[in-house]
Amino acid sequence: MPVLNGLDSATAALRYWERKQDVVANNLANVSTDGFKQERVFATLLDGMRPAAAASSDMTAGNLRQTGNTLDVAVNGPGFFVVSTPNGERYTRGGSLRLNEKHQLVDRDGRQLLGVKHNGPLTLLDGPIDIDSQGNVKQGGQIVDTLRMETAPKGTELQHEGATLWVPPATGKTELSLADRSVKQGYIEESNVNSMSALIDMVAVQRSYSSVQKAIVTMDQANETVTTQLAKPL
Amino acid sequence: MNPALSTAATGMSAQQTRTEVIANNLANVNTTGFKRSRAQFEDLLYQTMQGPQVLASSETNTAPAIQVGRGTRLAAVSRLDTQGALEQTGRSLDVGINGEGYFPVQMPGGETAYTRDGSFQISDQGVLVTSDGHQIGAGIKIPSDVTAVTISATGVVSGSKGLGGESTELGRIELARFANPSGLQAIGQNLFAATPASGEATDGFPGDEGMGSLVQGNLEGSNVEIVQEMVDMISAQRAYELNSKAVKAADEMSQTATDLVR
Repeated sequence: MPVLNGLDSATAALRYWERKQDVVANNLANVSTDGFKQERVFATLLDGMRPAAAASSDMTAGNLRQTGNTLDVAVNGPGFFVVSTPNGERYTRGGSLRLNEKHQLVDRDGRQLLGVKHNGPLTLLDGPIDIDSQGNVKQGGQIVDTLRMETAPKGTELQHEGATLWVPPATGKTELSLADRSVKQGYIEESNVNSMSALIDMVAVQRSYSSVQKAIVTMDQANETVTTQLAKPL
Repeated sequence: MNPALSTAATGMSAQQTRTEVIANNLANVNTTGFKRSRAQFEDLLYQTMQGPQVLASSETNTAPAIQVGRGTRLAAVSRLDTQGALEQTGRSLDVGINGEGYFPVQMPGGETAYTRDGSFQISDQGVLVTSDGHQIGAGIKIPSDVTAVTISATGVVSGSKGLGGESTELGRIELARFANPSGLQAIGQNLFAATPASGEATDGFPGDEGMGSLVQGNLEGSNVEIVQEMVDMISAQRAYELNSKAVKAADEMSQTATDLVR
């Protein structure tokens, strides 16, 4: 066990509040990013004395906004759609989809959504597209393909990758059964950031940061007293 | 430097873009056949601040990696293709579409554009054209001695000569529809062009499945709802303010840190 003093703890606390400020600022910046999940920062104690930041994504559902667009797709409930990226498969909660020049269903940045039928991209025909609540993509009353949907085991912390994508867990991912699915066509999931609580977090961060700073100044003053007064030759 | 500063700045510029899109919607509140748009954003790359770590000596007690996001960026401005309200004008050459179809329009360059704006005119050649003078579909000729034009729900254009004259069929207005109408590219003048994202046009006639029917003497109004835009504008403004507060907070924290040195 290393010898710790108040200054070490206080410095760790300052670093912790800075991390928290970064995360709160990111939550606030994404208050209108569809499909965004806010992050929460909490402190864990290292060696029993120094606080360290740890973060977890708050995976609660965002508000579903009705758009009426055929290819706006949201997940109402658990699970993710699977898209193919150059770095491998990634999870997404839906959004404004479109067709690429090969008539494949892609997300707004052109990443292919993966279907069950060929375990690859969904290739559609011309004509109206219907997506039912189980993720079956229908054209002219026929099921063309079914969207792949997966879930991560409860309590798994999924890694963010930006562009509202998540990295699937290395182990334990499961195919979401048709009965557990609830896909909404014509809807978009909004950001789940609550701007009020983010603002309050921000104020709290700022005040706490300032009090820790005061603590450091006080300890420094005490040290000063010790060195200048006690060390005085009699 | 303090990353919270630049993160909050991306948030401010996102809300700025959102306001610009809302302003364009509001400016087109009375534009025939206008469809409102919405700015869509996505989060930026995440930076891993510390890898997963083992706490103290017990190996089972691990803290997950901490990732900090770096803000937001504009991903797309997407159009919402909902039906606008049909407004009665009483003019016989005003045609509204009640459904998903688009009128195909011949452009001067030979390509086909699409529109929902059915405020038609008769050109100097006696052909049915849009208000900007582009020919509708294959071209429907209306003889100069025709005094009354009727357009049926299924697009059949007929004309009669004089009072109580016999009505003769002059042609039929076509419609086109798309797999993904919001993928159409707006090219101004209420016109749209097909893109890979929208898919190829499926041609047909009014009354065919999914095309919708025509309503003579009506025009489709803009689908902008002022109240909705106002609410969005307020929320954009508040979010802008919140992000500016985050800039201020980050700045004050840097100040506090600087105050450590007496």
